[in-house]
Amino acid sequence: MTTNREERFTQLVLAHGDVLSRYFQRRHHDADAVSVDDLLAEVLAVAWRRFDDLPADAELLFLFGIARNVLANTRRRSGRRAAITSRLRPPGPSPSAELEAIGDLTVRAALAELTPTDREILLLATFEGCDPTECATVLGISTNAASIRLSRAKQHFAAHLHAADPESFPVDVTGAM
Amino acid sequence: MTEPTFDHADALDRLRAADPAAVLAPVSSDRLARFARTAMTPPTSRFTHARYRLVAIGASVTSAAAVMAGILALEATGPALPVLALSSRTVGAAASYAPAAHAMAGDMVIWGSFDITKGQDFTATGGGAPAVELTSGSNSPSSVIAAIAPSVGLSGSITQQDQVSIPGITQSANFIMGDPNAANIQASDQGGTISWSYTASTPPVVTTPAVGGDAAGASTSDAGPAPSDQDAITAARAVLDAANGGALASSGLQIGTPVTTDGSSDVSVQFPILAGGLTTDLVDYVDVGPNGVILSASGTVVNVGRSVAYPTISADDAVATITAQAAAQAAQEGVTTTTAPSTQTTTETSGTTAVPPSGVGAGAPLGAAPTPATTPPATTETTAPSDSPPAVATPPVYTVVVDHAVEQYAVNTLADGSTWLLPVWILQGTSNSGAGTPQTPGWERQVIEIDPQYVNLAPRAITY
Repeated sequence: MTTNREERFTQLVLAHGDVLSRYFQRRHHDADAVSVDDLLAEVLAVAWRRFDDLPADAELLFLFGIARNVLANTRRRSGRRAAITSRLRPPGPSPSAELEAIGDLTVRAALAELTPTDREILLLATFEGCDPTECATVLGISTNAASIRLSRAKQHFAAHLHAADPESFPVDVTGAM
Repeated sequence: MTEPTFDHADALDRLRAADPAAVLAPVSSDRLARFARTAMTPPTSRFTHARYRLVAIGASVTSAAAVMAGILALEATGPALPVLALSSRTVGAAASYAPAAHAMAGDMVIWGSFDITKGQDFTATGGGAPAVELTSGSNSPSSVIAAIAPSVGLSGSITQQDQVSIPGITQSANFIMGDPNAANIQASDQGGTISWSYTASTPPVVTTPAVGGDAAGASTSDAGPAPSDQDAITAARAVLDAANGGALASSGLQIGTPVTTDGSSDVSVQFPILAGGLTTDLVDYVDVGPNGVILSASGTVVNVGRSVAYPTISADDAVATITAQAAAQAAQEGVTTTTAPSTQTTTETSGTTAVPPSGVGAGAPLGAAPTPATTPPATTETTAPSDSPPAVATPPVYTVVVDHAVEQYAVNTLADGSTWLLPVWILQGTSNSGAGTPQTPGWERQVIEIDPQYVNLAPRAITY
C-alpha cells in the first residue's frame, strides 16, 4: 500500500528526475566507472532519507545540492582509482567531465580556460537555468558572491570564446552587452 | 564613451547550443517511478565488525563523557562565559573569498579512513585568546560603494537588486552601482560585515590612466605591459583604503604584507587581514592591469564589536581531537554516515572542528538563534544504492603525520547571524595512501582553539 509520503516522493521524482538526469548527463565522465543511473539513484536515495527536510519551495535546488556532492564524491573515488592506475600506464590528457561531455570544441576550449568555480556557476546558470540567487543556494555562497562569480564567468567565457574563434565572435564595437 | 567588448548573448547562445543533454529523450515516467521505488526500498542492514566497533567506541566515548561531565559539574568554578553557538551558515563573504587552501580543510568526509599520528611534540598547555565580533559599524553597503567609487572612476546611483525569497535560506540584500554586466561595484551586508566587489568593463585589458582616472570606462584594446609589483600594490592599496576608510585602523585589525601574482598583463595582489598579529581567513583581492588600472577587486569591510577572552586548548589537544574524530570515522569503514547534531564532534562548513561542549561553567548562549534553524540537516553518506547491489571494497587508509600547528583566526557565523573571528589551530602534515603514495597538496585541518565547553555546533546546510 502506498502511503501519502511515498506518493509525494514519487511525484517529486517524476517532477525533477529528468532534470537531475540531464544534470548528470552534462557532467558525467566516461571514466567515472558509474553510470548516470547510478548517480541519479544515489541522489534519490539521499533525498528519500531527507525527504521531510526538503524545503517546499526549493526542492530542486536542494536536489542539485545533493547531486553536486554525489558527483564530487564520485570524482574523488575516481581520482584515487586514477592515481593507482597511473602507476601502471602513462597518464593521458584528462579534461574535466563537463568538457568531455561537450562536443563543440571551441566551446570546450573556452570553458577549459575558466576556473572550476566559474565553470560550475556558468553551467548552472546556462544549462540548468538557475538565477544568481538559486546558484547561491546550490553552491552555498551568498547571492552577492554568486552574482559576482556569474558575471565574471560570463565575461571570461565570452573573452575566451573570442580568443578561440575571433571570426565568429568579433569584438562588439557598439558596446552593447 | 564607446567600449569595445564582447557580446555575452552570442557566447551564451553558443554554449546553450553545445548542451550535451539537449538532444536526449526525456526519461520516461515509468523509469522515474522505478527510480523512486528503488530509492524508497530500505537498505539491507548488515552486521559487520565495523558496526560492532562503532557501537563499542560510542559506548566508551559516552561513558567517558559522562564521567568528565560529572567531574566538571563538581568543579564548576570557571567563569560564566557565553557559549558560542555556531551556525550552519558559516560561509560569509570573507570565507567565500578565502584562499582555496582553506576550503580543503573541511573535507574530512572522504571514503576511507585516517590514521593520524604526531610527527613532533606540540605545546601541551592551553592558554587564552579573544573571540572577536565583526560588525559593519556605521558602514552600510551603500556607503561602502560610495567610498570605493571615486577610486575606480565609477559614478552613478546605487540600487538594491531584487532578491528571491527561499524558505530556510537567508539572503542578504545586494546593492550595486553601475551595469551588472559591465563595470560595477556591488556590496552586501553579510551579517555585520560588508562584502564588496568591483569589476571593470570586460575583459581584462585597459589602456586608460590608473587609479583615480576613468578606469571604469576604460577601453579595451591591445594589452600593455603588466605593472610592476610595487605599482600594483600601491594602486591596489588605494582602493582598499578607500573601501575601509578609517574602519580598519580603529578596529585593531591590520592589513598584512601583500602577496603578488604576476600575469601576462596584470598583477593580482592579495592582502591578508591580521588580528592581533595573527593571520585570519579574511583576504582582500585586487587585480591591477597595465598602467595601474584596477581590473577587479573584492574584500570585506569590518569593524570590531565585542571581544570576549576564552580559555583555549593546546595544540596537543587539537591533534587529539582530530585523532579521536578520525578513529571514530575509521570505525565506520566503507559506510560513512556523519550527521552533525549540536553535541557531536564534527567538521564545520568552514573546515573548523570543535569537540562537544559539556556546558559546565558556560553562561548563556552567545549567538543562539532566536528561532530554530530551518536549513536542511547535515548528513554525509557515501553509500550508493542503485538497482544492483553495490560492490564491496576495502576503504583505503591514509596515514597522516601532523608536523605543524599554527594559531590563526577564522571567520564563523553564529546562529543569530553575528560574525566572529575565532582562534583556531591550523594543523598541517603529510598524508600517504595505504600504498605509501604521498598525497598532494598535503593534509590540513582546522580545530577551534576555544575550550570546547564554550562552543556549540549546529548542522551544516545543504550537504549530506
